[in-house]
Amino acid sequence: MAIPESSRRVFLRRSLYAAGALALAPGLAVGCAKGDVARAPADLRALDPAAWALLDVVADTFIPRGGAFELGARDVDLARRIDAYLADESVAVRRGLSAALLFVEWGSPLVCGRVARFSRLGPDERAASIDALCHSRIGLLRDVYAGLKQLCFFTFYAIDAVWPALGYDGPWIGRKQVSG
Amino acid sequence: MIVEGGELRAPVALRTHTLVVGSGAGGAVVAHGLAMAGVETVVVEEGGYFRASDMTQRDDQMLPALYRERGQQQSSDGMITVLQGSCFGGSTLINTADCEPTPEPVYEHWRRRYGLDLDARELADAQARVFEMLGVRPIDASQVNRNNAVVLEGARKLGWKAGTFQNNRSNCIGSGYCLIGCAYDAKKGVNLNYLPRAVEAGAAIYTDVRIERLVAGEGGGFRATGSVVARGPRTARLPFEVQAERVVLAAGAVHSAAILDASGFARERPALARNVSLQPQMSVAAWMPEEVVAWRGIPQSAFCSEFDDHTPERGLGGFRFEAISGGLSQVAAGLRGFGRVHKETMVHARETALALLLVPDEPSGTMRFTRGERGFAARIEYRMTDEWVARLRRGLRAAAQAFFAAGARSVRFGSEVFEPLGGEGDLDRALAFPIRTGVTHFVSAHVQGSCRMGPDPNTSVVDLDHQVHGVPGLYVVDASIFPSSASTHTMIPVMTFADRAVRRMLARGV
Repeated sequence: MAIPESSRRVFLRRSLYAAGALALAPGLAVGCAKGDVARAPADLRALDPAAWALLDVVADTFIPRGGAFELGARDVDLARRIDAYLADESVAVRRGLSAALLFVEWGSPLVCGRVARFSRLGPDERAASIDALCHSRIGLLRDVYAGLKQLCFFTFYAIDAVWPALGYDGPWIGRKQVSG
Repeated sequence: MIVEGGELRAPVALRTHTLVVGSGAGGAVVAHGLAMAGVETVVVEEGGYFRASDMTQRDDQMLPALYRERGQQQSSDGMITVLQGSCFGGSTLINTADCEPTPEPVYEHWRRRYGLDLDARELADAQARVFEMLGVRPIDASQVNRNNAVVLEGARKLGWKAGTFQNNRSNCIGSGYCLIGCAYDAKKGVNLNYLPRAVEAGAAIYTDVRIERLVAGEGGGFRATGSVVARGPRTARLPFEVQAERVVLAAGAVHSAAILDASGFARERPALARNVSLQPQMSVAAWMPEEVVAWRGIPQSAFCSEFDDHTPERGLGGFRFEAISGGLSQVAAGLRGFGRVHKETMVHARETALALLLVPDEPSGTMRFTRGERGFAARIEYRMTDEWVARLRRGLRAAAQAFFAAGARSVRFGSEVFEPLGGEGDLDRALAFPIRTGVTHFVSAHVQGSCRMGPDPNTSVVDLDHQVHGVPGLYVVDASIFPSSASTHTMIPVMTFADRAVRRMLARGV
């Protein structure tokens, strides 16, 4: 599997770098706190531990544990799966994703009036930050929302373990890999 | 002979009479016609060769394998996902198998507005031959699944015209994975008829080969250059070159134009890569009170044609909605929201009925191309007109009305910001449906028009014989030649024109 082209297109936008840079106030540390970073898998292929930790928080916001069905992004190591797919992507795409994540971390709370880091917010406040991106008047922010949502949802709902909760019984034939 | 790129270990240099670039609806018919007439023919296809046994029925594997840009080719603003097959058999491998000819008012529109001197008998004969080869037949009522039946029920309760398609399936077992390749060879794409018969007649087909540039020889003929590509990333592996007397571009409405552009043919042909029609479609999802299980059975067998408005003045017009289903991950990504709200929607997946609202458009888009290590990438610029948006909104209202008539509890559209409609009293909200980049999702399965057919080199790219104006021996035979949208489904129109084109080539004695 590869990351969705819709996400790739967003991550390759040059303006995204500017947004990510603007979101980084001078003197602030990049990425999540040490505790989050320490949870990063040792064998990441594309993301650095800080970016993985941010993606993990974002994925958990898009697809939290519990609710209508129990399974959430963290139950299937979604950030780690996405990291594996990113290994085949260009450096530019990876940098773009990192810029988008940085913007979410530092900029998205500001969009809904909070001066805080995304990863430090509670679940409801994180959801409000993401929702603010979705409803923003600024096209780039809506694109960040769409790119991250597509990335998380395409990956999550292609996982067999998710299907029983939705009543989807999966392919009728035996499974094997094909190269695309 | 079918040669897969992976079998090649050294640069390839071929000489043939006719090179056909692309193995989809257009290229397959042309290759078959030429090979059957004894013309030495080589077909090259950028995508891979996949057999029924390769189809895994998984989106995450088959979308990247079978579709152009992994199924995520988009307009430049990101709002419209432009779907094209990119494999042996092209879009005929991954389409819904609906066989919808070009309506007569569209032909008349092309005659009047674009000066196409089209002979009705010639087209009818061509279409009849295509239907026979594909085994086109009506979809039996027993094959209409609940998802499609909902559309029929809703339309009929409102007294609206509705019906079921003709299709090119036989012995379909209803697994529901038509859009990611039939694992049972029940869908009779050109991979199962025109192409193998062309091979039997002597044609050679090379898959995993990308043609990037054509150079016309001073004494006639062409040198086509490109690469054998790695399946998957499509990066160049080996040089590939063909010397041919004739070249037929059938690479689809994006890539035929890209090859002409890269070969320098745009300079004297101002219509190249312009007049593009995307015929965008929007998803309509209804939460029904009973199980629908949209993903099983033929995905698209029913339509509501009450609002078709095809006229000689306008061509294809109005709007229609057609039931559809798709892969779970695609559906999930297209449904509004995130978090627990989205999970609540997804847990009702078995009770969700799906349709696509199709709104024919004016051919007003443009394309620009860049060439990278993975081949051509198109920047597709597309602007929706106010008239089109108004028609879209009326169509969304009508589709929702049909779903409510069939008992829907709520109806949502392809938007992240539009609240679902809760009932018939809510329908007029559809008339203010917002369109915003990033949060409004359309899909196009019928990109057409970048190499328009016409008599005037200033306003068209190919003549009525499909030959590029001013370039003897260079032809374009795919959806790019249509002056405006040919039909609500384009496989049959492309194949009909391809049959007509190859007969005209042969009639010229070449």
